[in-house]
Amino acid sequence: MFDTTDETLITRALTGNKRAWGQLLSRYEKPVYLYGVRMTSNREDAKDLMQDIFFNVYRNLGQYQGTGKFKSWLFKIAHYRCIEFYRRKKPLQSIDDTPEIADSSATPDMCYAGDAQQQTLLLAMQSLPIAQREVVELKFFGQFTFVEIAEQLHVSPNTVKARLYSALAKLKDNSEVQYAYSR
Amino acid sequence: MPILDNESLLALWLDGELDNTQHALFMQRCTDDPAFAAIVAQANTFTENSEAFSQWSVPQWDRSAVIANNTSWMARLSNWVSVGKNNHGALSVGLSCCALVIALLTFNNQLSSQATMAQVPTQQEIDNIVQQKVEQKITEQQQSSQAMFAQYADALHTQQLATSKQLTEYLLSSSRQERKEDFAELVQFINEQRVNDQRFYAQQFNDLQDEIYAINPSPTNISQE
Repeated sequence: MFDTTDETLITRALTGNKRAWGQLLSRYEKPVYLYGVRMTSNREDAKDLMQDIFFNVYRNLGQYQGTGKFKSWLFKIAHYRCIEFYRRKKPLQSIDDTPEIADSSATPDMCYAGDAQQQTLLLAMQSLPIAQREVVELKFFGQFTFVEIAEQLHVSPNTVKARLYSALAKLKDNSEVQYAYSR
Repeated sequence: MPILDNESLLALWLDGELDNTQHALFMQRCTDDPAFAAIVAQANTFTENSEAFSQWSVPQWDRSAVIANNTSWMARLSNWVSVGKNNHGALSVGLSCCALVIALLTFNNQLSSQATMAQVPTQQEIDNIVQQKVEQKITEQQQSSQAMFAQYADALHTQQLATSKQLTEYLLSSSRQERKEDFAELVQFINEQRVNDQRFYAQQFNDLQDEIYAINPSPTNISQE
């Protein structure tokens, strides 16, 4: 009820107030970390990505105009850093390419991380191209509208809708294949 | 009513922006199109599981590293801002001039670097350049030699004309003098011959008169004859 707004914390952080920056971190580090987990399917990569995202957020904090929600601006940076992460990891893979999954079973890291339902979700996300995975992440887990996602990804809202529809169709097909194999 | 495609209909449903008509269309589409219904079910699954990771905790990480890595430039930025706030106009103008000079020098260096990089030739290009230079030098040498020879020829021709003129004038003048002298000698010779002839004829007449006087001493005969 008496929470300080993001804009106030940003203004204080820009003057060197470490406590304000700490409050911003504690407010957004979990969503950003979980974003990293679902985008990379690896806890260590998610941790590195989170640090990289917040490093860039702090460095560009002065450029935040306050015209939109801070969360949208934050996840726009997260998107760029995530793309950069994948470019470093697989320079020859496009964000529209379907990633290669060597084994359909969950990795040890995922087993350690969560239950079967979460493993299924992570595996399903992992089977999507990065561009579609990001739309699913921002829509269902980030709770952003299509317009906000379009602004963050610098594409049109119709493109976002098309990517989400294609992603859900692909997930449906994958789940049917897995169901057939399980029988 | 405008016909909405599956993507738009799904988007409106996910954003909760379906009106009554669109909602009826959405339900009808789910009934008529099993593929669309399966996609809606898939979306429903994700929506229901959106909180699945909420119990996850963020691992320990060095939060201060973010600030520490950025402190140096933040401090510089703060100092810069404080300079502006204190209205140190001269300092600002000076620094701006320095920045301008650096930018111009950098731009010139870039230009010269680019020009240098652009002028790095291959061996073939070097050979061509050398060949062109050699041919150019030879051509220039030929042209200069030809010009010099032409000047020499003109000078010789002029000198030859002058010499010929002098020789002709000398010959003309010398022959004229000789002819005068020759004619004078001839006239003198003729005059001397005439004087000698007159003397010879006078001597002959005297001898003849003496012979006549010897043959006929009477002066009367002589006068009658």
